[in-house]
Amino acid sequence: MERPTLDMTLARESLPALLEGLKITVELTFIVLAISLVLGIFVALGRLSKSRVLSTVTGFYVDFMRATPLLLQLIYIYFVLPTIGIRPDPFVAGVVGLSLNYTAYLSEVYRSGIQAIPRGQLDAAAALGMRPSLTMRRIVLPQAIRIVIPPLGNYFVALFKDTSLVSALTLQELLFSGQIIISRTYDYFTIYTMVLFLYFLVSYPSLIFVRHLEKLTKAGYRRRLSPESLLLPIEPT
Amino acid sequence: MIQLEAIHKSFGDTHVLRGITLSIDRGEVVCIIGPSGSGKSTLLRCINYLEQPEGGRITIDGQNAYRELVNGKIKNYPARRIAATREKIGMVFQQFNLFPHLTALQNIMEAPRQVKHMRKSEAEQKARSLLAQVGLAEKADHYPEELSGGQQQRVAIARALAMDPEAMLFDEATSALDPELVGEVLEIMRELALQGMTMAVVTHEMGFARQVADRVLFMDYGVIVEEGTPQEIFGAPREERTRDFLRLVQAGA
Repeated sequence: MERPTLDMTLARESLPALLEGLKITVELTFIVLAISLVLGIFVALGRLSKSRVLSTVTGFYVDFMRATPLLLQLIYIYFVLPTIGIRPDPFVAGVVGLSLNYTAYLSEVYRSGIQAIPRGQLDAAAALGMRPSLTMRRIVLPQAIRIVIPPLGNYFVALFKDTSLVSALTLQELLFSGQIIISRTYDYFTIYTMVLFLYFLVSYPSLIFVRHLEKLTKAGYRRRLSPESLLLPIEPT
Repeated sequence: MIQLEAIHKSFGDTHVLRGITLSIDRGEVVCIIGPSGSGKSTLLRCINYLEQPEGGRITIDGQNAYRELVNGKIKNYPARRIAATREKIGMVFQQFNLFPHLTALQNIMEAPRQVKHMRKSEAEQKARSLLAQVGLAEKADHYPEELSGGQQQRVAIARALAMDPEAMLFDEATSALDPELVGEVLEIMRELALQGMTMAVVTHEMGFARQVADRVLFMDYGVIVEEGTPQEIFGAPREERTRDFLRLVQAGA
């Protein structure tokens, strides 16, 4: 059997098309992330709401998204909705499907972040005459955001990779762009290696960045040291 | 000023408060002592409705404070009204409960700004003067975790005072402090008492109760066993349980 080799000519010729695909992958990631980050907060607040109806409905939505495969959710939106007259284009279907799914997951991150705030914080705010909505906005959420930044970062990387599932909807993101070239050239080795490498090229620095954020958020709340104070001897605490 | 009548509170099967009746006059300092689990903190938390008793009546200046009976059913007032009442009653907690994401100054300014909609300059001026009052003027820009326990508790007292409360509740305010930091917090509480603040103080500091209280309540198993002046309670306790408790406390001290 022949040892596979990278076809450098093909690689050079395919790069622009693959980069075009990567661009769509990145766009998809950021659009879905922006939508899910915002909607996730509302779903989390809905789940924690005193209203039985609201918490049941949002709870069922979250469980439903978590209990079914993302790939199937995407396929359902793209291939089944047209039978009832709704025909989203692949990009829109991808955005809707991924957003519905990630909103559910991110709402769970937010929920655990909100619930991690100690009861004493709520007591203190209430004792000062702050109402629940004000307490949520001014006391709970600002602290919860810090707790949830690292897990949100990890979901960001996961989302970047999960956008490859939208290739099943014929959207020419990175993976599907590669598959199109392969269908013409049959050079699995060269193209898939390039695709793999391009995903890694974006994901890996993101992972390092998330790890850095984790360290920052664990550092606690402290004054920023001014340049002058760095010259002073360190104060024992 | 504050009246509690026949307050009952349970947590699950535990009947923590079994019919507490208590009234606190304006300007009075009432210390509540008693063994752990006797219901002291729960009683204090009922006064500003952080705990909702199943039965009983809480009135402030003769008005129902948090709820009323409608056709024999207890009906809470709207959140807005409950919050408005709580504004008038400051509270200091065992664990300080400062907001960790805000500096000392911001902790104190938060409620005046957000609840009373005070102008920023005015709120800041007030916060700085309160910080000075508790001896922490130079710590304005420090975050809570950069402060010692005693300093945090002093900021917490300043934070409560920033709302100009008519009464203050202290829930074991010095119990979480290292022994050498207790004094600085008690000193501020003593000053407040001297200024005429109405105070309800749950404490294990018998020296403070003896010196500062106008009235001392001894609680055990969810009831007020005995109450009187510090001289009466510490000098000549009438009840067996009070005597046992004071003996144990003094043996430990």
